[in-house]
Amino acid sequence: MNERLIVFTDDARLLPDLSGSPDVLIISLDSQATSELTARQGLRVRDISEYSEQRFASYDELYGHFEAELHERLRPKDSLQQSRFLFETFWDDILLNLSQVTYIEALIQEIFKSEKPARFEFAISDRELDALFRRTVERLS
Amino acid sequence: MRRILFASYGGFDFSMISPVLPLLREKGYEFAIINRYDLAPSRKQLKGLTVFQPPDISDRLLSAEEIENALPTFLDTRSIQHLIPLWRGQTSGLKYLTGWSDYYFDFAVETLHRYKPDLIVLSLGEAETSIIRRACELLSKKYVHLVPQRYEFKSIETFRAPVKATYMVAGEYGKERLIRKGIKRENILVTGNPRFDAMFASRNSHIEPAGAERFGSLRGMILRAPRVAEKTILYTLQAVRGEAKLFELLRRYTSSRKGVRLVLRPHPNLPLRSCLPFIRYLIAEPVSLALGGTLGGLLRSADVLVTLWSLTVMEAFIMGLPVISWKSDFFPEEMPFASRGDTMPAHTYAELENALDRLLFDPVFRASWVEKHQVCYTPYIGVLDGKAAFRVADAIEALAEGDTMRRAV
Repeated sequence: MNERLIVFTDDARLLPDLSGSPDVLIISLDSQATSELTARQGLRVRDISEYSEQRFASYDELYGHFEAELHERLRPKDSLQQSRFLFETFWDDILLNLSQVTYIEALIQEIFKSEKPARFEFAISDRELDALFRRTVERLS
Repeated sequence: MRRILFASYGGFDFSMISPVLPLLREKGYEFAIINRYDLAPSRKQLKGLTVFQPPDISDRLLSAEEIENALPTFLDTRSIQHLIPLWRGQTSGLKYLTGWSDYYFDFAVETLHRYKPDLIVLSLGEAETSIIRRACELLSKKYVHLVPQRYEFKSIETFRAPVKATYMVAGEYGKERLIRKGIKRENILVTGNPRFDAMFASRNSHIEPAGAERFGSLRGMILRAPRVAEKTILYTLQAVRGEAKLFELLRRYTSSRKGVRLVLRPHPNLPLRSCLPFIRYLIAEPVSLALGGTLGGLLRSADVLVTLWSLTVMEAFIMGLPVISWKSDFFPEEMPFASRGDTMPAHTYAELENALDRLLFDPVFRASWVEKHQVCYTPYIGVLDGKAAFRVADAIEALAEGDTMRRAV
């Protein structure tokens, strides 16, 4: 029976006691945390960027990667001129915010596919990231 | 008399247009600004400038629930229902949403009708600019984008660049970035950025650029007198993700090296309360908070700038101050400087420690770094010849007088 536990963390100091969990994979969201965790003995640690299908050198590349998909998913399907105007007016904000959220969603989907985890724990210091990861994992589980 | 209307240059961005205004006046232009943002930090420079600012619209701010309810009015949300709760309330634009945009659109149209400008000089990015650009297009008003530095250099600041518009950018880097977005080369004018000229002028003369003062009554005040120290690390605060973590690592460094102090620079557009998390460390540690003085003076007094993605990097380049750029999350790089070799990148404490040691305590390495990077700002902002404001003013005049533009060029 698969008992794999995945722990998302961005701060090595927040890591819970994992002694009772035989199959643990720590996925780090922060390179400094990755550095500290890999220095500890006996921990299996991977950086979350390893689950990205490509490395984005800049946000321009990230936005470009998700732009067409988000535009098609979100564009108003009604014929009202007002809807189109508002959509265009706020498109910069929409793209800026939802590209990042969609990127996280894509990373977690890839983690589900390749690691087949049974459960998750979160040790994320950044509140916004913590909420994003918890909700996305909850939705995809 | 011909009239120029500037649009959406609030706060920090105002310093890039303020040197241009006297030149336009000499050319016989009147000018005004339409702005949703508070111009308070620039109030001293507002003499002779008409300001069109909508009345307080705080009563039009929507609650999180109202935002969620309003989204389906212009988005097809069926496929992103799960994303909305993650997203809501995170974006300033979304806080205003439809009520704000309707209101501001009407205000922009009314302002264009009343003021009758010959040319609108627009910022770039965000809903506010989109709304004014739309008003210009509907009323067949000529406009040009004078691109603020954050859009020119930060890729995290996404923006659409209408293909047919004309743009003024500081340097070749911004030009190439716009070309990658589909803008024709001939529609991009490289002018330099007037605020950088002012910084460059202060580099040797020690004359501070106009408008460099900040925090009004706190001017000149430094919270906690700096200790006598041999080396100063300047850390620019921005209230962004990862800031506290980097602060902890810098504290670790200063506590492990004698004679090194850390000076925090609050973000000029953020309230002072954003510094509160750091205040308690001022008491017993070599940490100071720079509340007064000028940016030029601060950069001159520092030995190295450490930053997440502050554009103070550009001023540091100009002043010849080495920069370490920190990046530890899994998102892409926000700015091009590290990947182009202009800043020393650090992703872990070991890399940060090594970079600081080399720049602070290895005089041969430091001299070599400074020598190699003394004009590294050139691709971004061109040659600093003190004439950027003249080039911007000349371009505005040419565009205002030209009859080739009926709408956007």
